[in-house]
Amino acid sequence: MKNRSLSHNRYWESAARWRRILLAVLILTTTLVASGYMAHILPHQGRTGIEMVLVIFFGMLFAWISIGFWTATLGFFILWRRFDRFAITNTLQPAASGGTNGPRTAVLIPIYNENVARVFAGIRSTYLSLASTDRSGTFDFFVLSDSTQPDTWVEEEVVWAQLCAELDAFGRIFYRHRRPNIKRKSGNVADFCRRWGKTYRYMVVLDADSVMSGNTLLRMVRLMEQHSRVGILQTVPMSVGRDSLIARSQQFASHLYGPMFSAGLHFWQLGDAQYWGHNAIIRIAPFMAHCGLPRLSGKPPLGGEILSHDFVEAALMRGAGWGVWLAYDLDGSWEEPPPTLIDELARDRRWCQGNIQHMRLLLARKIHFPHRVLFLNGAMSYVSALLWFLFLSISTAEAISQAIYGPDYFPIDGGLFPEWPVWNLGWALTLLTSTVIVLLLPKIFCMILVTVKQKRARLFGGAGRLLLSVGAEVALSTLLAPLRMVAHSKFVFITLLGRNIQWNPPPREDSDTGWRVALRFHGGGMLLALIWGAAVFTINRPFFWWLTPILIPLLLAVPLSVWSSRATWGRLARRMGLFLIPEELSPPHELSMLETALQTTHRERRLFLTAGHEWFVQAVVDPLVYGLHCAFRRQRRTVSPTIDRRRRRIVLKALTDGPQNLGQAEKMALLSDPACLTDLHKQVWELPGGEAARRWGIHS
Amino acid sequence: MDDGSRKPAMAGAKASEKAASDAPKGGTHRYAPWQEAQERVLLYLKALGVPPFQSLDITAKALRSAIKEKKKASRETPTKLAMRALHDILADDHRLLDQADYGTYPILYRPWRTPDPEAAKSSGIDLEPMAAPPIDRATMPAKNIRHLSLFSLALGLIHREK
Repeated sequence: MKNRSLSHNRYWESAARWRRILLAVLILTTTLVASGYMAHILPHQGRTGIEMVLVIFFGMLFAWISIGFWTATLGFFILWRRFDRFAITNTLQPAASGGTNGPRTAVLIPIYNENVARVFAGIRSTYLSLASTDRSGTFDFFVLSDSTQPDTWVEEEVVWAQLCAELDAFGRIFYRHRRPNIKRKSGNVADFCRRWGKTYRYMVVLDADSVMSGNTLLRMVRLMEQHSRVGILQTVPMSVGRDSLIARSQQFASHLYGPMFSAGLHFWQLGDAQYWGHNAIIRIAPFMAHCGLPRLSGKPPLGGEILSHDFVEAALMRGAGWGVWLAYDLDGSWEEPPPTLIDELARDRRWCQGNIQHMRLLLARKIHFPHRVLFLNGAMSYVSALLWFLFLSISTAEAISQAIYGPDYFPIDGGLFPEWPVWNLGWALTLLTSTVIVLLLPKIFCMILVTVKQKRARLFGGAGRLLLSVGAEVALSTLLAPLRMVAHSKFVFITLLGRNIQWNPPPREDSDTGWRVALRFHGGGMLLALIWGAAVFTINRPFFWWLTPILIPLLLAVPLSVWSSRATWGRLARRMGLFLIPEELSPPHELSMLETALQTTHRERRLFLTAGHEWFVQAVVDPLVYGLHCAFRRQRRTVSPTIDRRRRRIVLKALTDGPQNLGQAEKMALLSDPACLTDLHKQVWELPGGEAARRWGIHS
Repeated sequence: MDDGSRKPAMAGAKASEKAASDAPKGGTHRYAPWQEAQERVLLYLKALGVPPFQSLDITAKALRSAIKEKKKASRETPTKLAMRALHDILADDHRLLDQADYGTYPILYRPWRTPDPEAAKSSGIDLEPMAAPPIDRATMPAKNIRHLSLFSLALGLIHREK
């Protein structure tokens, strides 16, 4: 039987081996042919040192884009055939009707200083979708907060209580705040496992901006039940919910190209797939046994805590003999893209450091070879930008050198006969065209698939609009590619120099990039392009025209970044029928509920009276918010007399100077100590009327 | 308003008046601190979601208690004495908050109902599971990652790792 076969690793491992060999052959062949062309268009056919370096860099870059091309092409054939004997979803058996018996599953939402309203609106939507099924009783939701901002912490508690009260979900949706956020998200999930992991068989990990449909959650659990050797089942979350131009373009790309790329990835990964950190279901027992992450020796960025924990957890799970599968055709799984280019690059900065850190694990024991390749692949996502930048820099140096010193007729030391350098323009154009085809053909495949085979073009606004949207997406991504190249090169460079990053949560709502912010972020790249362009224009004008597709976007980086961040431009594109996605034309129930919940969060809060003040002030003053906050604290831990005296001094300071003069750390100290908070709560209410009481929002 | 709800309200108002009549005698300005104390207690009870008629009753009790304290030559302000009295009243009688607007959510009233976690355990009031289920502790050891030599990696490519 198929499902039994997928549970047994040998069945698919043999197929995976042959598929990976096929992919490697395809990539190597195309890379060798393209590199040969590259060598031939160079003046000395790649025989000088600098030309050899150029050819090697070109080969590495071409291999990199070939991986994407062949993955997409294989995905195209799988989706065209409409049959994949290894697709895990093909093995899904019908659910037994009725009953609430089933494996207990925890839905985890690890959060860190997030937009609280958005997080809980997402949870509400997923919870209600699950509640509409007949098997929701086996699921519990856990909001696992690592927030370090006092106002965010209190707000999370209040909104949690409001949500539980609204949905009658006390005892079904849980909230836990962890003060020392050791090992960040992976530590947060590990902390859950240590406290409650034994109670549940599976956990579904969601991101702060994730939404999943109840039916999808049920199907994932059923698949895990059917395949007892699957450790992690990853869905492909579709990007939705943003209005800015760049985000809408990425949402469109995620919907149009995503399924084909995912099918291609599944073709060669099979049970060696990646875990992307969210929108996935995990078998808890093996996860606890094998996926506890160590600290790497040395200091960050290459040592210390493992930042991109998900890839490593997948590798460890697989190393322990459990399958990691990608359910590429399972729908009902969503996330939100970054709203602006700068936000996207800030996220990439973290991922870059995390992926480069994986190089430390390349030779780790008990990691299967495909996962070593995936570590390398992850690092190449960013290192390739630096290679591209170096390739362009070396090409420029060579062009300038040619212009200044003239042709070198004796390029090889000791050569007896002169060599006439030959610039083969025809071959250069052929190579350029081939590269463009490798980059663009997958997009054309996607259009053909959606329009001809799947007949889903109307879900993207019709065939005409689909074509226009692809054109606009190609134009936008071409313009932004040099900006990403410069930023990623910088990230790789500073990571290798040993500079660590500060972790900040990504924004969860549209926010236009300001001109000053954009100038500060892209100013260096613009200056570089200006100097680069001026030098090449002056010294070697023909080469300058070859560089214009790189230089012009870099010179326009600031307006490109600002305009692409604008929600008004995104909405205009929508009105013009550009970048439409199925969820916009026919929103699923879960996303409609999310939208409604977000629109109602600004209404007057029903439970609490001091709304409008800082959340910290409410925790001190409003008896219900204070009561709720204290209810989470089990009992006061015994603290040293020094800490106790320090906290008492903070209480005194709060009473005399008011909340505005307290720092974040002082507020956190008060919120963490129920005894001190109780003292402060009582003494604030005992303040005589006047300025002191008004500072706390008490007007009597 | 029907008679049922009017009676406690009127009783509360009378109690409040009586408390005011027990307050120190003198000009109107002498009452100002007591007026403030009354308003503060009422505001606190309103924030707790205690129904208005019950608030007046409790306020009267708190003010009476505060006046007694004041007569013992306490140098504290009436507001402070009244609020302390209020906290004592709420701690003494947990049922006072049963009628509160959000009484169905006991987690909001835990500090008044079960101020001491040990007392909560002995009284059988178990509010903790509403925020998080009982902990069932287990271990999740960090993996000790050791590295392969390049030779064993090459060997692993030929003979798959077990």
